[in-house]
Amino acid sequence: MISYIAKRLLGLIPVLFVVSIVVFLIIHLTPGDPARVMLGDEATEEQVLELQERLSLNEPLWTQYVLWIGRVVQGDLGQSFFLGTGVVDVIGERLGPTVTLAVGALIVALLISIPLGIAAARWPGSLLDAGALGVSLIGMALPSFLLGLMLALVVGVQLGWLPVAGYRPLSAGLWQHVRYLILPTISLGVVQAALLIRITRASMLDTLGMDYVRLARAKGLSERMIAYRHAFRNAVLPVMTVVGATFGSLVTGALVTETVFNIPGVGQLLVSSIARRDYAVIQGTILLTTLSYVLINLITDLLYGLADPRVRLGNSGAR
Amino acid sequence: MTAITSSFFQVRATASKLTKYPALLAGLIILIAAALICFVVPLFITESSTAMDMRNRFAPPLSGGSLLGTDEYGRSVLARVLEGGRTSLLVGMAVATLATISGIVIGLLSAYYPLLDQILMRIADGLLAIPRMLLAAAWSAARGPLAVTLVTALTIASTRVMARLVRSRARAVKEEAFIDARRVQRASDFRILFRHIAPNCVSVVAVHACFIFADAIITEAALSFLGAGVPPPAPSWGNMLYDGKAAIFNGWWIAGFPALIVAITTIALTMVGDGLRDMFDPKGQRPRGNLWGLLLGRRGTKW
Repeated sequence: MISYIAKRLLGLIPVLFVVSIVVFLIIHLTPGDPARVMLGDEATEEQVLELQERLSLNEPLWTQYVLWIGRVVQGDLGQSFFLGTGVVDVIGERLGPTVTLAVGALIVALLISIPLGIAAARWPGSLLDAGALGVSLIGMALPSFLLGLMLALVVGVQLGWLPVAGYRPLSAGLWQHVRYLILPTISLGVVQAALLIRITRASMLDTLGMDYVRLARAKGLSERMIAYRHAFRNAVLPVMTVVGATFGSLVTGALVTETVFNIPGVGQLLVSSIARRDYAVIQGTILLTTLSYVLINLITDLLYGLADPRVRLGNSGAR
Repeated sequence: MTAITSSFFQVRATASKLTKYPALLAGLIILIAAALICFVVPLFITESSTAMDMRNRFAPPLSGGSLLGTDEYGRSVLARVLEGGRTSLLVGMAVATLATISGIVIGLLSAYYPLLDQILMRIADGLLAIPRMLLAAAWSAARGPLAVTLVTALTIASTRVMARLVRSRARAVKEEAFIDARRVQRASDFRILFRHIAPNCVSVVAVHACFIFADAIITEAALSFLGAGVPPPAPSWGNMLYDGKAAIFNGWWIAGFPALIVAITTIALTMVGDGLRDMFDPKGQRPRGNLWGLLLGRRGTKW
C-alpha cells in the first residue's frame, strides 16, 4: 500500500508542474504589455512602470516563474489588483456558497442516480430503464446553467413557487437558506446525475451477472436483498471513481450555476475578475480549483486502492 | 470506375444501415434541419439581428411583427437566434475539426514514439487536470473575447481527450500483424501511421468528434453567458441567454427560445454520437457513457 501511495504521489509532480506553467502563463498570453492591459487606457507611464516593477515583469520569463512559484508554494497567491487584498482571502470569503452548492448538488445527484441506476439494471429493457436512459440523455446534453435558467423561468417566474435568484446565508435561518438553494442544487444535481446513472447501471449490470450473485439467488435471497446488499457493494466502486473524476465538472458547473442564480461564490468572483482583468484572482481561482480537483482524485484513487486490493497490485506490476 | 461504384455501394450500405439506428437518424435529421434553418432562412427574412426598435421592446411572440418576439432593445429574437446559431454551429464545427486533426496527429505520434509519448502524455495529464471551462475562460480572458480566441481555447481544451483516445486505439492497432507486415515491406513510419493505423481509429474519432461538437456549443454558450465568449452586440446563443436572464421578468421568450434551441442541438448531437458508437460496435462491449466511459474501460476498474 505504501508503494502504491508513493507512486500516486510521484505521478502528481509532472501534472502539477504543467498546471503551474499554464496558470503562470495566463498573464503573459495577453496581447501587449500585461501591466498596461491591467491598468487600462488612462494609466500614466509611471503607474505602468511601477506595476511592471511590482510584478517583476521585466525579468526573464523563467525568473518570473521561479519567483511566482516560490510565493505560491508558500501560500501567497498575490494581491487582487482591483480589490487590494490578498487573493487567498478574497477567494476564502467566496468559498462558502460555492462549496454549499457543490455538496448539495452532489447529494441531489446521488439521490437521483443510485436508486434509478440500480432499478434500471435490475429490469433492463423495461420502461423504467428507458426512462432512466432518457433522464441521462437529457442531463448529459443539457448544461446545468441552461437547466437552471429553464427551472428559474418555469418554477420561479411563471409559477412563483421559489425565488428566481439570490442567496441567503445560514444565519438568515435554515428554511431561507434552503429555499434559495433548491433550484440551483437541482439544476446542477440533475446534470451530474446523468453520467452517474449510466455508470451505476453499467456497473450493476456487470455485478448482477457474476457467479456470487447467482449463488445468492440459489440460496433463495430476495431480489431486493441481492441488489441492495450484495451486488451494490461491489458495484459502488466505479461510481465512486466517477464521482471523483467528475468533480471538475461539478465545480465548473457550480461556477456557472452561481452566475445564473446570482449566488455570491467563487464563480461570480471569477466572472467579475475576468471583466476587470484582475489576473491574480483569475490565476488563483484556476490554480485552487485544479488543485482541489487533483487532490479529490488522489483521495478517490487511494480509497479505491484501499477498498480493492487488485487495483494497487495491478498498478505495481509483477510482484 | 470500380472505385466509384464501390464507394457508391458503400454510401448505399451506410444509408440503409442508418435506418437501423433511429436515434442516429433522428439526430442527423435534426442537425441538418437546424443548420439549414440557421444558414438559409436569414436569406429570406428582412428582420435584422442588431437593429434596435425602442418603441417595440419586449413584444411577445407573434406580436409586434416578430414571430418570436423582441428583446429589451426591440431586436428580433428570431433573427438573433438564427444569427447566433450560425456563430454557434461554426464555432462548434471549427473546434470539432481542429481538435480532431490535432488530436489524431498528437495521438498517433505519441502511440508510435515512446519518448515523445512520455512528454506529450505528461502535458496532457496536466492539461486534463484543469477543468475545461476554466482553461477556456482563462484563455479568452487573456486574449480578449473574440470568436477566434474562443475557437483556439476550445480546441486546446478538447484536443487532449481526443489525443488520448486516438493514442490508446493506435497502440492496440500497432501490435497487429498487418502492421508488422508493412514494416517488413519497409513502409515509412509516416505511411504506416497515416495510411494504415489512422483509418483504424476512425470509429473512435467520429464518435468523440460529435461529443466535442456538442461540448463546444455548450461551452461557447456558457462562456458567452459569463461574458468571456462572443462579444455583444453580435448575437450568440450564450449572450442571448445572458440578456434573457437579465430580462427574465419581462419576457420568457428572450431566454426561452435560445435555451430551447441549444437544448435541441446538443441533444441531437449526443444522439448522433451515441448512435455512431452503437453502429461501429453493435455488440455493446464498449463502455457506455461519454468520454469518461471510454476512459474508464468496460468495468470501470481502471482509467
